[in-house]
Amino acid sequence: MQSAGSQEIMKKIKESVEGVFTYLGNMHPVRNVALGYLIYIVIGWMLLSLPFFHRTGTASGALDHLFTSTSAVSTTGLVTISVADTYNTAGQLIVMILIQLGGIGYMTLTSFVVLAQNKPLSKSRIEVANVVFALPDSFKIYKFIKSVITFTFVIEFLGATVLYIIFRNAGIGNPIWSAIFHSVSSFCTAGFGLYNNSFENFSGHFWINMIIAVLSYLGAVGFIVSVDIWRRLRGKIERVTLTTKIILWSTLYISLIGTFLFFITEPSIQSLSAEKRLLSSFFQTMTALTTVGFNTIPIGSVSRASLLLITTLMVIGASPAGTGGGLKCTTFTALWGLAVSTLKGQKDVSFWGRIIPEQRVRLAAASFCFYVVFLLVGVYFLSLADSATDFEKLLFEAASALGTVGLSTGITGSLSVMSKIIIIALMYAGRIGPLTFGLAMFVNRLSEVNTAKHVDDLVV
Amino acid sequence: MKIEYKNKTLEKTVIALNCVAILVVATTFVMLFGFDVPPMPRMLLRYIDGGLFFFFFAEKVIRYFNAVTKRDYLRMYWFEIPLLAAVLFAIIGAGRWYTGASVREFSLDVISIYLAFQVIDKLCRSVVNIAAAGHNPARALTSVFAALILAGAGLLMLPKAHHLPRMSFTDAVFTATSATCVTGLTVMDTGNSFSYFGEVVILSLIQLGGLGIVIFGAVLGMMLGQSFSVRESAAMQDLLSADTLNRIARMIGFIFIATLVIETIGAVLLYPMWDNVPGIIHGAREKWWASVFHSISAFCNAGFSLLGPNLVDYNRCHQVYTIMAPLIILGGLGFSVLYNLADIITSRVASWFRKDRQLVDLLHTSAPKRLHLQTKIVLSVSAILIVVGTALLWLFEFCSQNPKADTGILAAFFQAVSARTAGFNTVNIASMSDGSKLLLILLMFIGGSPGSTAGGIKTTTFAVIVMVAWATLRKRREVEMFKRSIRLVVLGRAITILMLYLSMVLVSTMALLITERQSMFTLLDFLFESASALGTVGFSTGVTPTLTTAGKWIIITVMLVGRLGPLTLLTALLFNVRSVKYEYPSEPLVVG
Repeated sequence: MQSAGSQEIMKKIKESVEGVFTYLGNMHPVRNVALGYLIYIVIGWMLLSLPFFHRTGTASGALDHLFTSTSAVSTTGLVTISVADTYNTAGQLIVMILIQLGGIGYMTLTSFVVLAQNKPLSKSRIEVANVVFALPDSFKIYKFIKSVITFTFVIEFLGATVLYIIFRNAGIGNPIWSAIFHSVSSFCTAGFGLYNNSFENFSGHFWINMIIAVLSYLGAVGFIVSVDIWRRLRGKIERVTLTTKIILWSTLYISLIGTFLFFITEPSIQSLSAEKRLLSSFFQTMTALTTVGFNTIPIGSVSRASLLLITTLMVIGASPAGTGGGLKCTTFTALWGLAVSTLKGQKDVSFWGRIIPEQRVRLAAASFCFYVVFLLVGVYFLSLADSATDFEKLLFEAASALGTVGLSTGITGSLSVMSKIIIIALMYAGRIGPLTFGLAMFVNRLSEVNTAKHVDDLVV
Repeated sequence: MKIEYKNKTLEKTVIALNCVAILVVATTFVMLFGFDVPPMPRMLLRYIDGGLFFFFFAEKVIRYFNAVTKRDYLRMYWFEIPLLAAVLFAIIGAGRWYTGASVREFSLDVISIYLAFQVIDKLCRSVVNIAAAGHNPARALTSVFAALILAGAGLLMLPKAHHLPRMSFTDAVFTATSATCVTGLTVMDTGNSFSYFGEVVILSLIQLGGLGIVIFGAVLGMMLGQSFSVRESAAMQDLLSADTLNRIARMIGFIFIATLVIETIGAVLLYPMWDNVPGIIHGAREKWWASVFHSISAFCNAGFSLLGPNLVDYNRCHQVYTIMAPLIILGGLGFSVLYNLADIITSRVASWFRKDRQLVDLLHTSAPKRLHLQTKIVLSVSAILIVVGTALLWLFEFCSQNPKADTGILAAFFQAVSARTAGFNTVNIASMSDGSKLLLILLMFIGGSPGSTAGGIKTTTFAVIVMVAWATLRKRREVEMFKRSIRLVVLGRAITILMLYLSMVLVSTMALLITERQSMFTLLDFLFESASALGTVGFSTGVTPTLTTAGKWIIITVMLVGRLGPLTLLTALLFNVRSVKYEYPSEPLVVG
């Protein structure tokens, strides 16, 4: 009797589990992505809350761990508590794993696991991957994912090695762990630091600045570009794709302009020597644009003009299919192309001689609108929840969260509970992308994802 | 419409004499009203004015007899007759209402007003002629604006125009720009700083600037719906068919009449408002002047007020909500919408009166009047923005840290209406919560509707962008509104305008943050100021009087860009087209 009863229960459990998996499998890819990240965040939260991972002597609440978990998975870098002081090495390892997962995208890792077992990816997985990466059609998903994983580990390893050498020479404690952690944190453009004041102690140290910048740029510029360049260098293809060219050039231009503006207008660094000033300007521009979030000068004391400049850079953000956040430079170039084509009176939108399909342009416009709406609504509610705090600091914080940057004027820890929840929501939305967020909510059936055209496709 | 004259030399002489007369009028006015002690004897100047009155009368008659087709002439100058009749009526009436020396004063005042009309009329016509003959209407518009501003600034610097010991050039240009661009930002209290003459100058700039833009926009809007082939060196009037010219003339006539009617009714209805708060404005003359000023200022969405704290003292008077708010809304709807609505209303009323079916069928040979796509969009978006804006503002002020007694739902309503883009305020803006300021910035950014005196990216642009986002969300192939599809071309324009405005606000805020380093105001305040200037609104959190000279010139530039930008952009788009034929299966939609 009992065994029959327990068999019944087992069968029911099995059915419900299978039911969940079927549901997940049939779910719209966009919802799949959103849910996937959510699951990671929740698991991370649960792990980080365990006292096993904490250091003794520091108090932290459940909200703080949720905050840290979301911040890590979304590769933001905002924290309400000090990572080094609150978590022991095991806890920091958890944080690093969360960063890594968030950085290369939840889809990539699970796909890799599947591919490693030499099983073909299911159709739904391919669709989800398409949504997550929004790739041009010429890329093959399998090879792509494999290259992503390999590339990530190689770069992070090299970065860690170089950092180890630098740290050891600078006499920093725990150089191995510090090097590994910061290498992963930089490449995934997270910006989590084991030092409470980020890299402010190393503001004049040329090599640390450089290596962090290189890692961040590589992570932000994205897999597409890196893989593309690699293939070009190995002679497998004739030319890099349009997307690659656009990303490289726009990153270069914006970095130059940002550095220049920062250099001439920021009063707090005017007292430094010219090279240090240039280095600071470059680093702050880089950190905002790649959305990594390390800083070498205290952001709380920059002038308001610079604050606005950094906010703008944070909104522009990095590249698609990279680890960075923000609106993405390709969205901007698509909109820029639209503006130019409109002013010239042309019927089609073109950029550098190639036509951008109308669907992409519309997508860019929609992304832009959603991003702005999210930012405004976020700032709005923040100003309600924390009406005593300066508006510009709240705006900065919201832009930092939505762009998954991690820079802060220092108010994160002292925000109200409501504000922290809002920031968590913004970080989450920033990672999956405001447009994806909206789609996840509204789409209730699978429709055609995109049409194949023989025009050069542009990633938005 | 050009009028042929029989005797060309006579016509040329008349034109030359007209130019001289205009100059003389201008000079006498400047001398009479600009200085406390006119350089020439006062009576002499007034008699010169009287003489000019007869000159203008004579020149009309001469032209009438010189014209080839007298009917055309009468059609073009028909309003001269009622105007003259009004002047004569006033002069004769003066003898009955006033006595003694004030009769002559009043008569000469009336004659001065008539002369002012004449000068303005002639200037307008010559401007239109020059613009039509030119290749680049945008340049014509910009030059007209520049001329207006400089002339206005010059007038404002005259000692008689203000009560200050000295008026700096920057401040004069600022005020003139703010008036001509119907913004409303002020570096000094209008009522206290300027004399009656100065206030007249400001009001004239407001009316001229507002009307100028509207007329230009209307003409452009009509040309947008045309299919024509553009050669590179085509003059504007070559591009317009006779039918279009007729429609343009009718539109312009409608604009003038509607403006006059609405502003007059507004002024009359505003008159009793001033009694509600005793001690500020008293005396019939002051009350009339205040009524006229505020009526024009509201309809042109300027936001200038003769009262120091704007309308704050009057926020309990119902006229603010029942008269001023509707004036602002009407002014912000745009004249194409007003024209469409007037058209429909008159046809409905006409058909209602004509019960006879046969007569109705005879009259309505044209297509039944319907609401244009533009009208539908403008009306719905404006309604939504007002309702949502009011609700959110009230909610956020209510929930803020320090709720104030006088911020009820009415205050929220007025601020929401005024933000697009009039600039009157019934509550102190600086003391509003940050969230409300953000909402106001958003409303200021969106602004009013095309073809009106309002600024901002315009309701139609906003609607297009929202619908595109929505269509993408629903994974639809076409973007549509009210069962009409919007083409990529329109979306392109909308996004372009949005991007340009955003960049402008950003650049302006950053520039202000650099020039106003020493200021106590926050980033939000400067963002607010930039958005207010770009949208030609006029709200301020108190930044304007504290600006450095550099900051003032930044705001001046931003105001000009906000006013002229969209139209010059549209002109550039229109005249840059190389393709031969445009097909508009969907309705033309004016964006920006």
